[in-house]
Amino acid sequence: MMNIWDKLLNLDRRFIYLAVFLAAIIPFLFPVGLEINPTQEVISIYNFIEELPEGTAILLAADYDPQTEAENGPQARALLRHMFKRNLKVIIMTLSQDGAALAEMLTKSIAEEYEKEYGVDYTYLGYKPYPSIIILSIGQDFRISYPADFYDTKLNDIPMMREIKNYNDLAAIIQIGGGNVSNMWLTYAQERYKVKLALAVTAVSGPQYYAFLQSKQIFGLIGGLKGAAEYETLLESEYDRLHLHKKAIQGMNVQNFVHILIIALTIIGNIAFFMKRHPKHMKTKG
Amino acid sequence: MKRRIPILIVSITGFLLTVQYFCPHPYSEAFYNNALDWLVIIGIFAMPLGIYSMVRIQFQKVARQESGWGFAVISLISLFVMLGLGYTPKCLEAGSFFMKLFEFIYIPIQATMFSLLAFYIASAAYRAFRARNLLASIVLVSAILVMLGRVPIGMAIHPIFPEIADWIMNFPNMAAQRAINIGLGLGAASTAIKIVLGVERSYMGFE
Repeated sequence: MMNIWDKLLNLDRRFIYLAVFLAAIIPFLFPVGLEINPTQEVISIYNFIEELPEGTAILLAADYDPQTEAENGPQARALLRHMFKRNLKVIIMTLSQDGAALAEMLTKSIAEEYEKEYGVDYTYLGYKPYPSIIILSIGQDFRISYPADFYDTKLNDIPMMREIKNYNDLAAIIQIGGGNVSNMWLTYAQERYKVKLALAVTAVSGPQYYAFLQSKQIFGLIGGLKGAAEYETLLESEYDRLHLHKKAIQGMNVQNFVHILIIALTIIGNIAFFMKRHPKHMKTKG
Repeated sequence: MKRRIPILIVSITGFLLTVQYFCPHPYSEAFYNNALDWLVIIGIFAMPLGIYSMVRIQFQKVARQESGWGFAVISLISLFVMLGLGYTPKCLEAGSFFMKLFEFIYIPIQATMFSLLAFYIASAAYRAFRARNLLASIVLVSAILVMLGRVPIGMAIHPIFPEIADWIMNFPNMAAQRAINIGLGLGAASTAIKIVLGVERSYMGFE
């Protein structure tokens, strides 16, 4: 006959799935609203944008796709809102093949919130394949890979792009994504052209970029939904002023519960594992 | 000759581009820009090749009625519908049929696939994350501390948890990542040297 430890070790995975489902749904209905403290790596990006003079050009590389929209989307929205709030000239592009429409929707919706004019306050370049080639070519001239923007307007006909040739004309690049493309921005843009770079990556990719943060190859790092929630906290007054939904902060409620659930499952699984191996238990069984 | 000419082209190009990196002369920059154009042109050829390969495999599946051939039909229909709609005028405007398919079918499908990871991770953590020996125990304890320290509830339980999580990320994690990165860098450099010198030839389809 199976004892409690056997039952626990052979627990049907559907119960675990149900627990995860409930841990994700309940906090949406009953948010806990715990305090979020921004970390230094997120604050440094916020301070950098805050201190830039109005009208400075900055590049936002929205290299994420629908898979990671839940994490990268709130990061992108918070960053773009901050850039528009500071009246920077923003160039938006994507090196993710599924990201072109996402980046366009993002750009249009945030630009409408701030009543920004296309071609004067921001430009959307769209998607081009082969990231490493595009990143290298922008170091020479945007026009090599992007002779025209997403809407087929020649870059020279776009007012804000007339004075922007390459990385030398940008205050920084903030790349949103994670994985291979982030590495390419590090290798081919930051290392080769010495352009200032910050990354906003998924939580799973975050740990691999701490080394670049310490070596100052990146000046800031926004990791996962937590990083987005920290940025939303820094921009809280702006979100409140525009009555915007703080999606990442709300998402952190869910992460709280799911993390606690996974920790609890790991501990229960280990207790059952050790109790099963315990000599007393083995003797009883034998 | 069939082998020597490609090896020679690769060696000369690799050597010139290496020298170019250290040489900020206008001729060197012109050569570099030219090489970038060539890269784009060659790279573009990979796209029709990929589409052809995918279509051929899916057609074969349907023709032979292999297991899961219904999915191959769906793949082909999806490919041609999106491809066709992508050429219609104003397809990228908000509210177009193309954008609706992207926004209401493609995005939710991709997001769902990624979201399923949470369920698998929870199940795997319960079944496989065991403190079987000292090293596994260290990983297990570190993972629990990082998970706790990276969410606001960790801070609410005790302010020490975010500090421990930050320490794990900034020291043991960073040291390990740096070792991996240095290893990768050395590996990439040695492979590049072998290719330029003609020692590594597997990229041509033979040893």
